[in-house]
This record gives sequence, C-alpha cells and structure tokens, in this order.
Amino acid sequence: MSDHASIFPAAQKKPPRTCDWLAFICLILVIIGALFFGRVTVGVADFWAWWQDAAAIDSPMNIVFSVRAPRVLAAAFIGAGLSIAGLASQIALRNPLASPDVLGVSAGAGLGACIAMAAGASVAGISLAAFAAGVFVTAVVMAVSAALQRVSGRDPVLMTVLVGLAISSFCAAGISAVKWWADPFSKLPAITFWLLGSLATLGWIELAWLVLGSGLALALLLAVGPRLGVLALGDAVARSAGANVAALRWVALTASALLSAITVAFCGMIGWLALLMPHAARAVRPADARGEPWALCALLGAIALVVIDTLCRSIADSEFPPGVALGALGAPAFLWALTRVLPK
Amino acid sequence: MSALLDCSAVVSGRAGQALHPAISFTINAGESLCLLGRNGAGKSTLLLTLLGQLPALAGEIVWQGAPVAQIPAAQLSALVAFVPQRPIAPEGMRVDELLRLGGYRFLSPKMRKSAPQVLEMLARVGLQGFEARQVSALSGGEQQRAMVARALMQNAHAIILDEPTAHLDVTQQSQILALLRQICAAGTAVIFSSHDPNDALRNHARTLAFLADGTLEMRSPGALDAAHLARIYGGAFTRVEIAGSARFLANA
Repeated sequence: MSDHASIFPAAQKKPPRTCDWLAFICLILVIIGALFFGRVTVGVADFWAWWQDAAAIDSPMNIVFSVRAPRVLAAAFIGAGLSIAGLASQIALRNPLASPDVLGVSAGAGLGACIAMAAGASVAGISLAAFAAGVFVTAVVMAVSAALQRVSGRDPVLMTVLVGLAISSFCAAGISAVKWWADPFSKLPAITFWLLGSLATLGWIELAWLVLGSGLALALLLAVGPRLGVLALGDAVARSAGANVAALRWVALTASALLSAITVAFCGMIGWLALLMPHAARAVRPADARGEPWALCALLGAIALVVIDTLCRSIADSEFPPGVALGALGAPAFLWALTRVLPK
Repeated sequence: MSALLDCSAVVSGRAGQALHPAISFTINAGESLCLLGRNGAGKSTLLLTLLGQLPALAGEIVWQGAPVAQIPAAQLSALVAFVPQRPIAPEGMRVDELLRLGGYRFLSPKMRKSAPQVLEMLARVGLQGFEARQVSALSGGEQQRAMVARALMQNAHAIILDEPTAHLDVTQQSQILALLRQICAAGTAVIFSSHDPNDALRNHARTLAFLADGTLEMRSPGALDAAHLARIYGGAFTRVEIAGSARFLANA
C-alpha cells in the first residue's frame, strides 16, 4: 500500500509481492489456455492459419473470439468480483464466515430475477431486477439488524449475519413460490436452469456491463480498502481510533452487494467462491503490513472460476452448470476453511 | 485553559439504569486515575461513557472545552485513545499492521507527515524487533504492550485502559504498570481500571472507588487505607510495607 510506505518509512521490511505476481501470471496462462480448450479444440495450427488469413470464415478461431473470449474474460471478472465481495464482507463484519450468500444478497437477487423471469421480462429487465433486489435485500438486512441491535444491545456483527440467514431463507421460500406459480412449460425450465448458475449466455455486451458495474464497486472498495482493516480491531477501538465505523461498514457491504448482485443478474447463483477465496488468499499470504491480500484474493477467484467454467463446458457433450460444480466442490473446501477459523 | 477532561455530575449506566450517583472530577495532562471496584460495579461502563461511546445518563463530559457528544470521531481520537479489556486482533495480523491501524487518524494525506513512527513506538513499549511477528502468536504481556502501542499511535492527550493488568502473570503486570507510569511521566493522562488496589498504589494514581453500598469515593494518590478497601470489596485487608512502599493484602 503506497499509503503505508509514505506514512511509516521506518517500516521498510515489507513482504515481497511475489505471490501476487505469480498469481497474475497464472491467471494470464489460464485465460489463454481456456480460449483454446473446449468441445471444439483449437490448436496452434488454427491460430497460425487465422494469423495468416484473418478473413477466413470457417476458422475455429471465430469460436474463440465470438464465444469463448467474452465468456472467459467474464468468468475472470465474476470470480474476482465475488472473491473481493467476500473479503470485504468478512472484514466489515469481522466474521471469517461472512459472504454475500450468507448476508442474503444472492438469494435476494435470485428472487428478483425469478420474479422478472416469471413475469416474462427481457434479459435487461431480469438483470435489473436481480440487481435491484440484491441491493434492496442488503438494505433490509442492515436496517433490521440495526433495529434489533438497538432493542437487544447484542453484538451488531453477529446480528447482521443471523438476520442475513433469516432473510436469505425468506428469499429462498420466495423463489420456490415463484417456481410453483410459474408456467411449467414456458417459464419454469428457464428459471430452474438459470438458478443452476451458468456462464453460457455471456457475450461481449454482457461483459461490458459486468466490467462497468464491478468497476464501480471496486473503485468504492479501493477507496476504503486500506482503512477497512481498522474494523478488525472491534467497533469500540475502531471508533476511538477515529474511524466512522458505520460509514466504513456501509461502504464495504454496499460494494460487496453490488458485486454479487451483478453476478447473479448475469449468470445465476454462483455459490461458495465469495466465502472461500478470501481464506485461500489468506492461507497464501496473511494480512500484514500491506493490509489484507485484496489483489491476491481477486486473482485466485478469477483463476478458480475460469478453470471451473472451462472444465464444465468441456467435459461433457452438454454443458455442466458451474454453479452446481462449485456447490459440490465448495462443501469440502468450506470444511477446510472451518478448520482454519475455528478457535484452537 | 480548560482541563483536559472535565466531568460534572456525570451518571453512567446501561439501558437507562444508573450504576452510581453523580460524580464530578477533572483530569489534566500527566495525571493518573485508577478506577477500583468489584466485578460488575460499573467501571467499564463509566470508561466507555468518558470515551463518548455510551451516552451519559446525566451530567456533562467535556474534553478540552467541548462536550464529548459534539466532538467528531477524528478529533476525539486526537484527545483520547482506548485499550479495551479484551482487545481483538484477527488471526494472522502482524504487529506493524496493528500499529498502522492505530495511526488511523494519520491516514489522510494531510496528516501523514505528523504520524508517529511504528518502529519508534514499538521501542517505546519494549517490543523492538517485533514488527513482523503475528499479534496472536505473542505472549499475553507482549500482546497487551502491542495494544498499548496501538493506542499510543493516536498521539492522544489521554489514554483509557480497561483492566490492563487482568489476565497477565505477575511479571507482565509489573511491566504494564511501569509502561503506564512512563506514559504518564511523558505528559499523557492515564485513566485505567483495575481489580487490584495495589495497581493504584504502585502507579501513584488517584483512585475513584465504586463502594459496595453503590456510592463512589475519590481519593488522592496514596490515600488508600484498609477501611476504605473493606468498603469497596467487602472483606478485611492488612496493610504491609515492602521496601518502603505500602501494599494491601486481603485477609483470607
């Protein structure tokens, strides 16, 4: 953090950024690999032929540029965005098991999208509904937990997570109700498939929206990132150190809601990444004089989702939903994370 | 020039329940005040009220002429720092990061130049060479000193510590008390609570005692006696002299 270097010139012994750079190189390699990998394998020869004659209509490189490239890049952005959303909410709530899924954002966005789909909205309408519902649910969770906290005087952090769980389960009930109500022939299959979580529909236009939305949220987080760590010391200490605790927490949670609602809007429910990637990043490089491993967390999340999505679209004749694969892989990984965060 | 901290007719409590009758006192630079009382008497609540983190039920708490509720967080952090009874440091956080966050109010570009130095502060609390260690891997006494260093990074006029010697072994307790004496001698006001009246004696602190009958009593430094302690804790005490200084022992 440049902040740190200039404030405390005496603390020169900063850990090197080696793992960040290694992860970055790894991400580039994974992206290049993913472009050539799939049901239609594109070889170096195809690339060379296209390089000689870019106008060739039947070149398999057309698949790479029109279908795979936007999808792979979107997977990288979504993976990074979800992981950052998880890290931000874990720091903001001082809870290593917090994530937008736990806080009800994903379920809320899912419910919004389901209602829009059942009502026959366009793709843009569905995305907007998912996004609006995700942010709305975050606001509800924050307001309800603040109210309960005022009444009971209990720990606001624990309160937020528990209220998130309750609202999440309310939204899940809502999703089931919408499925029950939706036309079983024209609407239900689409809703069900979308809920599985898939990146198949992502093209260049969706990618542009994704970059725009997550860019906004990332800018918000970058602005408070170096300061956010103060929340880890507890509200009383953070406040006495001069932090506006409520505002810091609000910015972090809003940005993380934005990131995860955007994801749900474009590709349905992608679970676990937000919860797990911060743990993976901290296992590689714990929070140190440069603060939390934001960059590493984003890079690892991007690598993970690109790899999983590429495998899911390649292994079978019909695509396996990455949301389902993540759900299966996430459970054991979560147990691993538990062994790290539970007190010894 | 107004006092650093001026409390007039202050009543603290939680959820509208007063924990003690109104109390008035002032604290100036370089003074030391020790809150004594049984567990649950209301020491922590009064400390949090002085910090402006709990509203006073009655009376006025004024830091350098300004009522505490009207001071913005950033300005208040330049007046008083806080070390809670059980400070939190997340698993894996390094000592230098803990201190960097302590200097939170210096993170803005305008303030950067006047920020205290992490390594100097570590040396001041006797933790030279600890900057790259993990806070959670330190001993109890080292952790407490790191937490004090974290608070000192605010460069505030006063520091409030809730039971700084609790959960420490005897040597570590002495080290923390010595550190508080040194902070006090450097001109910072030190307000701390303790379950051990000898802590107040050793640091020559004024005492504010929560008596067992629910009242408060202020005594000047060194003015503790066995009868007074009996009214705080309910048991009998014996005064002994060790190397010329007084100590109190509870009669079992």
